[in-house]
Amino acid sequence: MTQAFFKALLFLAAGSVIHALSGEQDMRKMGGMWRRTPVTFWTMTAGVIAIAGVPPFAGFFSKDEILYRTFASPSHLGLLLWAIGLLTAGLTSFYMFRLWFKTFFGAERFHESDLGQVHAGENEHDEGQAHAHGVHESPWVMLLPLVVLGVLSLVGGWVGIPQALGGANHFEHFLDPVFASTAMQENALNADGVSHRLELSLALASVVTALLGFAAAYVFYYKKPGTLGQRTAGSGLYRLVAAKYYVDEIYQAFIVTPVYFASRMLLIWAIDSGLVNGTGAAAAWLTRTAGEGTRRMQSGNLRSYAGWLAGGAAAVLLLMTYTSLARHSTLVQHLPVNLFDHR
Amino acid sequence: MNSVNGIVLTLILLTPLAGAVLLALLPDRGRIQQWTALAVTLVTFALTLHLPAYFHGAQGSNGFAFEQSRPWIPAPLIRYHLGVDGLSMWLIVLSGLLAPLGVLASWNAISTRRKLFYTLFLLQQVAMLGVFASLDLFLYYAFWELALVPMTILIATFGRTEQRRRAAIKYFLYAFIPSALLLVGILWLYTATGTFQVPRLLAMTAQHAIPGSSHAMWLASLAFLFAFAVKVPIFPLHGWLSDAISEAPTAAVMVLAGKLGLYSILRFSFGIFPEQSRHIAPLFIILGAIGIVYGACTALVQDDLKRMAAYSTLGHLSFCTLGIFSFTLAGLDGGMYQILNHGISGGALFLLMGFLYERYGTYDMRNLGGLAGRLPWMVTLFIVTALSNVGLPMLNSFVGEFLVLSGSAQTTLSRHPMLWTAVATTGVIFSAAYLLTMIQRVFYADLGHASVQRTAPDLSAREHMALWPLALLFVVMGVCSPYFTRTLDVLSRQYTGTTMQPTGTTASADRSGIELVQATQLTTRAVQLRDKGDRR
Amino acid sequence: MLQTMSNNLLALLPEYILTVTGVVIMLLEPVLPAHRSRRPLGWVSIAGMAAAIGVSFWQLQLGIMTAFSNSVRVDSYSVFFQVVIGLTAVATLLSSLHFFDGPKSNAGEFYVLVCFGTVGMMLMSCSTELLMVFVGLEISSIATYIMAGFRKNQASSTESSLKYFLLGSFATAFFLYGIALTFGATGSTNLSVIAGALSSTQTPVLAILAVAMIIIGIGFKVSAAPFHVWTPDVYQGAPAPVVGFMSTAPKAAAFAVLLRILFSGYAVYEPRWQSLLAIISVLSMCIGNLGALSQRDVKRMLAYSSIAHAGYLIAAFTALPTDGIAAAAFYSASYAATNVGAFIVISMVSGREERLRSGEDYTGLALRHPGLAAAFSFFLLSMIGIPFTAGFFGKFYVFTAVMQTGHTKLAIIGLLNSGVACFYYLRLIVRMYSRQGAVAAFTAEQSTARLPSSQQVGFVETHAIEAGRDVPALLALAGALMATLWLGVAPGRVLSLAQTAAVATAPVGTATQHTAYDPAALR
Repeated sequence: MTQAFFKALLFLAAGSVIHALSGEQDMRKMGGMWRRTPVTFWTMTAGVIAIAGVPPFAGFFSKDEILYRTFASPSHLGLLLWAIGLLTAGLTSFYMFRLWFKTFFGAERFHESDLGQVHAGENEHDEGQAHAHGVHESPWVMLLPLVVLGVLSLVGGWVGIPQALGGANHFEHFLDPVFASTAMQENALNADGVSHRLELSLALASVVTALLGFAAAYVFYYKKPGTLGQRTAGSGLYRLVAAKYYVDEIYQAFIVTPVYFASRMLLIWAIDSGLVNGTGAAAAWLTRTAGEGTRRMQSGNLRSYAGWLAGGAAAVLLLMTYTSLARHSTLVQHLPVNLFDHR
Repeated sequence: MNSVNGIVLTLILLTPLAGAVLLALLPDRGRIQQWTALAVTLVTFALTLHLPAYFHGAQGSNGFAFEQSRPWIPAPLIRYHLGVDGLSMWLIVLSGLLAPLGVLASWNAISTRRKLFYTLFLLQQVAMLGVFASLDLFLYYAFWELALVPMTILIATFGRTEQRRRAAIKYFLYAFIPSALLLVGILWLYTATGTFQVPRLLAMTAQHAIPGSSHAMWLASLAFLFAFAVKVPIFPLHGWLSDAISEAPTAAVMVLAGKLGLYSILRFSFGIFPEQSRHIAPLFIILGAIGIVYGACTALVQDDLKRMAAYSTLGHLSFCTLGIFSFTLAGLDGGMYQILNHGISGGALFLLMGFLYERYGTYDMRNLGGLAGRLPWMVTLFIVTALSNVGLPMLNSFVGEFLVLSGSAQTTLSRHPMLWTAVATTGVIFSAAYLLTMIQRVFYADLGHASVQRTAPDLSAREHMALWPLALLFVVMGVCSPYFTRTLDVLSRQYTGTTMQPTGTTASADRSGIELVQATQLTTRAVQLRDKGDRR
Repeated sequence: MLQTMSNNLLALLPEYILTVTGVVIMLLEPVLPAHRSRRPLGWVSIAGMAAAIGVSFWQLQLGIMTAFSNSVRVDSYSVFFQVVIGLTAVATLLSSLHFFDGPKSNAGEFYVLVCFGTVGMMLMSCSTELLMVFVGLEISSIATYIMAGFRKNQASSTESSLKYFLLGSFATAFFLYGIALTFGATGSTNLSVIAGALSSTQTPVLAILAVAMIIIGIGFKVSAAPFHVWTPDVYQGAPAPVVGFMSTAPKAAAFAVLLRILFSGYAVYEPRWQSLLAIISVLSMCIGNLGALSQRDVKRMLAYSSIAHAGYLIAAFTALPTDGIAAAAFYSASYAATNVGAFIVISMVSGREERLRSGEDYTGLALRHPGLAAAFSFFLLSMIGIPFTAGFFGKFYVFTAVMQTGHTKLAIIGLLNSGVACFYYLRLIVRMYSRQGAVAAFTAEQSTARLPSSQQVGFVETHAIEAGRDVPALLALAGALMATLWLGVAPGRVLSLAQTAAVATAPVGTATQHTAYDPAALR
């Protein structure tokens, strides 16, 4: 649940940075931003720290909680999941700090000429720094939620401090009426005899992982930027990673395109126009045709009207005679007589 | 306050009605109509707030609060019987809230024939509030049908394209013909039980005292359910939805779909025909799951903002359907909560689209684009609203979707609960995809045709006033969900047959505890998957 | 002797008043200079009508009266229908004061015909003797035949009158045969005698054929399928106020007769004629609604709709006597209020020349005449059966009564039909409220440029402007509107009247049946 705070925070902070750079989204073109956009920088820092799971910030507790739960779950699968979780936590920490370093530290890699002119002239007091013209802090509109979320993501975790660390998990009970599950779950887990010591050692493990991630990012992207690239440029792994595992391309080819195609052809065309609207249209057509038929009865010709009248009368008389005969003779007793009388 | 409790529902109904009459008499000059309509809706809203404030004190022994019952027609005995429970109370408050926002949204958008517009708008509100407040089946039906008329004329008169007449008639026919069957069902129920009183019918159901063969009960329950399902709309019955939504003016769209039908299913189908509803639930679980994916996928490929929103509505309402038909505590709670959420998040989305339309005169995403720099406030609120619709944690829809998914995963009614839950979960990803794509296309992509031609100011104070209450509610309802679910919970406990028990001590609780752990894991996975969708 | 004399006088007092009024107008008409407006004559007829209604109401207090050797029976049932018919006639007269005003309009004759026609209908609703019914039927029919052709300068009107007359005589012949056969089977034409004699008759087939003939004859009058063929042509050709009158008052009278004949005269054969009427009801509903779908002329559309409404009403015959009669009585009252109102609007919009008659002509009516459009929409909504209108309660009571005897299928067919029906009513409403062509404006500056000018508004200004000054017609319109609303919001009073009426005419013994029905016995 605490994820929400720093997720939202990071989104907004990223938005703020992008705004500052007038729509530049590519991290490689950023850098050294921390002096320009201090508020964004600090809130982003809070978010990154939180998501990386550095104690005592929010992400630590939630992540810790999740990992602890997986570890403590009865099956062996739990252990594996825990390991994977820990690894991804480390990677998360790594890439978040990588982002942090690349964006806010190091050389300024953006160029004024590349940036849009939307905000030109806003920083008039800053004219001495021609180079930085246009790169500026976001308006307070954007910053206020950032700051609030930043504070929240730092302290948000405290409401969920596990018992082992001496706190009562307020957050868990917070949604109790809704999540009646949580309380039960906790009971079930505590009944398994998982000790608080285990929880502490697991917490330590995750902290170490987070710090490792930070260290790696520090080394590769701040201290010696580019080394990672140079050293491993040739290896397949880096290429794979650099291409984001080709995930985007695979997504594009196997998921996005088919989904769009299917949605367009199958859903919109076949089902929505065909089935859903088609049945309605068919019913309407049927009714209209029937209406057209009744209209044909109306020739305007007096003789035909008299004919209809006589025909109708004859039908009524025949029906009544027939039914009354049916009542009074055994010959036609089994024929349907009363069409609407169900009593 | 007791004196008010007895008549507050009548006041809530009478205020907009009197307002409608007043508006019909006032001249259509200057801003008289707008201000009057705003004042009337605000007073109504203030009155609706009385309900949650005094709900617990006013509750009767049958679970309904603020009851008021007076004979209306002697034979067959029809009573003017009003009352609310947890669900209908919140729906009334929601309708009360959306009305002034709708007036604000129409402030400039409706520039001609304002008198007609606001009169019909208020009439529509009366009918809708009446549906939620009625405890007499006949009275309920009267309001239910009445709700159709103002909406139809609103669409026909103020629709934006040449298709408006068609859309209006389509809307009316889709809703009216099943209602005819509903009336047959109601009449059958009356001849079988001799009463129209909902509390009495519910009591009879609880004692299995409704006479009638199981065959007849089945047919009657189907008549009820079919009418409601079309009104919601549930997946294959949504033929009217996209046309009506894309034509109707913003204020009307905000109250067009969802609430009435889902409320009616919960109150009448589940209340009076519990066994039949449980029997048919597997079908609706499947339809709900399909509807989620279907709505999201079709929304993904729409170029028109309103049509996209229409299919997104279908997706959201399918979520509610999935939740309530799971017949689990979490599912019902979540489904009901999603009804409210949809009103708020969907409403905000429609408001924003309406504001965009006022500026650029088009809903076509191909003509928009690159607006982020020009309309910073609007883009901010758009993103917040989109995130709320997607179900970002801490915002309102997350709670509802989470509960719905965990409910549908636990359900014992469907044979493959996990399969359908998984299908529904993919729908969540798609919904993130289409909303973020929409924002990208409207606000970040290259400048479009319309956005080049016109320059428009950012949100005005009036528009801020319309949006911020909803934006605030995203967070409030995301964080303080227990406050709302507490009252909804009563109904879901009734339908699941569980009573309030001390948390997790009994042996049976352990079993369900394990099920819940599985469910939680699954939904966590769902959330992670969705986050991936977000990042893309 | 004196007692019977005064009874004979009292029982038919409303009819006497109207007859005298009619004769007085006939005498005054030639006295009035040819160039003078005929309005005063109209007011005279209205005064006479009002007096007749008042007397009819007053008759309620006298209890059940029989007169003319048991051939006339004045009870709450007859009073109910007489008041409905009378009020319809008043509304028609009010709306036609202006409509028929003008040189060579023969307005005086029109007022006389309305008075005499009403006499016939009132007579129908209070007679218990088949021959008396026939006399009333003929008086009312002849008046309506002439009224249908009242726009003498237009061929369509004359054609309409002639068609109505020829086919009507044809149908009346059936009715007369029915009476004859009844006499053959039972030896009497008095309903109270028939009821007793039928159970012991030696020729049941003859009696059944008699009832079938009577149903055919009345079925023509109420334009029930398959005897409806005349309706669209006649309604289209006849002047609008006349259509408003002849689609309501004679029908109410005919239903009053049919209800009385069937439920109190032929009660023994109830199952037989009930299944026949169920078929006729379904046919009328379906043919009426389907036929109306493809009509462009508004009057023709409403003609088909009246066929459908006759079908709904006939469905009430399949219910238990008290329920059915009460529902049918209420339905005819609600339909009268609605339909008269609708035709008043039509006459105001189209004028005497009736240049504006197709649905397209009503496009944008709400822009020019919001009041008229709103009233018309309200009447149309009442015909659809939207809550809080008279039509809703009419349908509701009919189908509740039908459901209570277990005819669920009939109720389903009926209500689905009202679903189909809503399409053509709604199309007209939507037309009135939507502007032609122009896309709804979205910004202020654009909308000012698009303010409706007369070219854009499809509704051409002709009669409606002067119609706006037509105070009597507006009065009648307001009356119809109030009645439709009142019957839709607080139907209790009229319904209780209809229920006492039903008890008054239902055969003894069935009144208790209503309370004694057992829910468990129903499926």
